[in-house]
Amino acid sequence: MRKNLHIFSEPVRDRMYRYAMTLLGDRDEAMDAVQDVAGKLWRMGPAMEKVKNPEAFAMRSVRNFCIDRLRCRKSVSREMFPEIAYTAEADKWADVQLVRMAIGKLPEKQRTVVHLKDIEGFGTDEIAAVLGIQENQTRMILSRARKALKEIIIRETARRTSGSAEM
Amino acid sequence: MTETGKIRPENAAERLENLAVSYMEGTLDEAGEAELKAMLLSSPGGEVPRGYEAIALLFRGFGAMAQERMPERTGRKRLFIAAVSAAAAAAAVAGLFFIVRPVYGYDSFGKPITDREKALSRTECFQQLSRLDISVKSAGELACFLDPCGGDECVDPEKTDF
Repeated sequence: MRKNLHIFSEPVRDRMYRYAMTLLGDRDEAMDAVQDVAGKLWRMGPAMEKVKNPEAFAMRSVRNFCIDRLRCRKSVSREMFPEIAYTAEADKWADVQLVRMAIGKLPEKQRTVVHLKDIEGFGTDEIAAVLGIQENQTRMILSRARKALKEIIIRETARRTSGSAEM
Repeated sequence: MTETGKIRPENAAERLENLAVSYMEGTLDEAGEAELKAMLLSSPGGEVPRGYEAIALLFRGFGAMAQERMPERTGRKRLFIAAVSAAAAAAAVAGLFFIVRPVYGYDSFGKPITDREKALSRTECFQQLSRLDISVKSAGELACFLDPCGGDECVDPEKTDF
């Protein structure tokens, strides 16, 4: 019986998808990332049992896949983020779009840290394991990311408010 | 803090500011983060304290994004994948059929005979031919015994003058 099978469960799959979506900003590519990574993890077989933190390992694999994809792109449009299908209320939809757009403007490491901490609820030690850095470095990146996000949102909200006032 | 355990308004503002600063520094623990979220998102009337709108919006956005689930593949791509899968499955079944199908023998051109009835009739035919061959041989031997010279005048080799 293989251990660590929970990394193929639906919640983990969804988590990998959200992370890939944050990094790539494209639904189909994010789905490709999840399928590719899940296939690779499955093919690892018994070697997977030696991995201490399988979920962190899976997220690191997603990150590697996404970085490769981003490198392949000639130009990454950080402005372009697809609509999300699940939101029902318009204000919620607008919030998500704005936050997604703001996250998309961050450098890759900040994006990863803010996604894993604020969306997935990972601990800073787990994020450090995913990125292969020290925990205090993770906190520093997180702080910079949150400050940057706040600035982007304030600027964007002001721009939108002034834009709608002029109309 | 009052005697009843409620936070005074001036202390609440101070607490909110401390929590927000710690959050932005990345040093706030889980309990503190939950408290900050509650203060910003569960305020009476849904009003967010002035100056904290951006953080409240971030919390709302993060919360909604955390509920997002991986969609099923749809449209052309899905149809293409389904078509390719169906073709691959059909090819696999056909391949399996040809691999598993027994070969009973080979015809005179070297082609395998996989039809059981055909193979049986072919075997019977060979058996009949074999019997016929034995009968013909027996008849020949008998004829030779009865008439060793085949109807011609027999020549005694010892009397032959060369």
